[in-house]
Amino acid sequence: MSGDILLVIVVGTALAFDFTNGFHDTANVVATSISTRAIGPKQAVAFASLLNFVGAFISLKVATTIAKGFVDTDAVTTTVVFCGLVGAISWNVITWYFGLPSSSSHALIGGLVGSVVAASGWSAVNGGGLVDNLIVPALIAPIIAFVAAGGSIMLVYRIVGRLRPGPVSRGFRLGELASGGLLALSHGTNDAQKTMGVITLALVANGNISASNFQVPDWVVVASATAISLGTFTGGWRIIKTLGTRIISMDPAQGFAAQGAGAAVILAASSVGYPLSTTHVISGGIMGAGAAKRFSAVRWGVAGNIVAAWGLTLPAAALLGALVYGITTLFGNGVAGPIVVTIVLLAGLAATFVRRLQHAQPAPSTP
Amino acid sequence: MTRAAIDTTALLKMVYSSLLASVFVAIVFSTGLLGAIKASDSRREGRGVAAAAYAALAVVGVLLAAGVIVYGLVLIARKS
Repeated sequence: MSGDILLVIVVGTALAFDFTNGFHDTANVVATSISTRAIGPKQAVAFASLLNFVGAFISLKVATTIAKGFVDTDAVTTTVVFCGLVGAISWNVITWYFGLPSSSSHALIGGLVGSVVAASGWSAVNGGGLVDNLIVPALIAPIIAFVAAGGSIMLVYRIVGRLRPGPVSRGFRLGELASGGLLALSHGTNDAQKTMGVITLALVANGNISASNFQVPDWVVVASATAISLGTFTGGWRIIKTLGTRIISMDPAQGFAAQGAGAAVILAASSVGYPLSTTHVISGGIMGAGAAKRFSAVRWGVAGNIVAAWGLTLPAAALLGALVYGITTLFGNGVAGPIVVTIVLLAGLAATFVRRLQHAQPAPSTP
Repeated sequence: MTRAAIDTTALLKMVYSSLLASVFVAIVFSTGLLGAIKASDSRREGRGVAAAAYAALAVVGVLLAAGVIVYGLVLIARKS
């Protein structure tokens, strides 16, 4: 009975993480379309939210990687999953509060690894899986997006460079509706699966699913799709501003190239099961599209701050996951610890949101 | 902590498929846009044949871009 209560808490926490993932990450998806005036902010967020939901149903390979690729499933308990999630949510909220783009995916995996290490030691961590499925793709993906967007925009300028700028911009704004939509779809595909993987991991730990016959239940897919979609709809204006206007001022053709490259990289990664950060990839695309036109147009200082935030995410979330595990188990191995931590987390979230709303910036104006 | 070799096949697949797809879509969409703008200009100038040819180029470009996107999505959905 107490195992089932804990499972309900874990599923609720995982869906809350999914919501914060949408809230934190998906706004980045629409930043380019908004800054190039292809679509208004409210419509962009609603559009991205809908396509996030649809995207979650496309593939399940990333969910399998999350559930099996990083930690020894035998060492995972529902309490471990819970603590990893709380570590990840805490890091997401901290970076959201300070307007820092980080990676929800890396926060989730970092939180989980930290929690597992605190529970069972380093031997329960699949180091090869971390390097193979997380670190190498995380390093390569933004570079591919950079090269793809840079190469694309150079070819685009060669094709349409001598045409009248007005119709060209209008055409690429239409194109951005498609490339932005595709980026939102790819985000739903890759990111919602991370929550599906974690919930499935908890179901395995609780004995509801056999580890040898791993399959993501349909209700997990629907619940994860809904949570990330609602998170996206709620929005995250502060991070939109950082990515959409502070890295580089873009024209619609650059926005099209950046979004197209980002979507292609995320979808290709999803098809082979790599959990990527949308923030990493779209930032790489934006910088590539900017640098190809004029190297100095990219504000490399802001880009450097973003890279620093990425580098911090994995170890910081791991530390938080381990810390939460330590605090939770102070109350024993039952449900008391997770209940206390959940109450503290909810109180902390409420306080942060209230404080943030009091200092909220207005949404960018619709063209 | 356990170690494993990097799966270079999956990594290479991600690299070449994303590069090819994004560059190809950018080229065909831009060509389609070029066709649409030139078709409009030609129509205004009364050059009917040129306008029709450019309009055909626009349709082919946009259809090719859409086709590649749909094909990619179907491929991903089928594999999982």
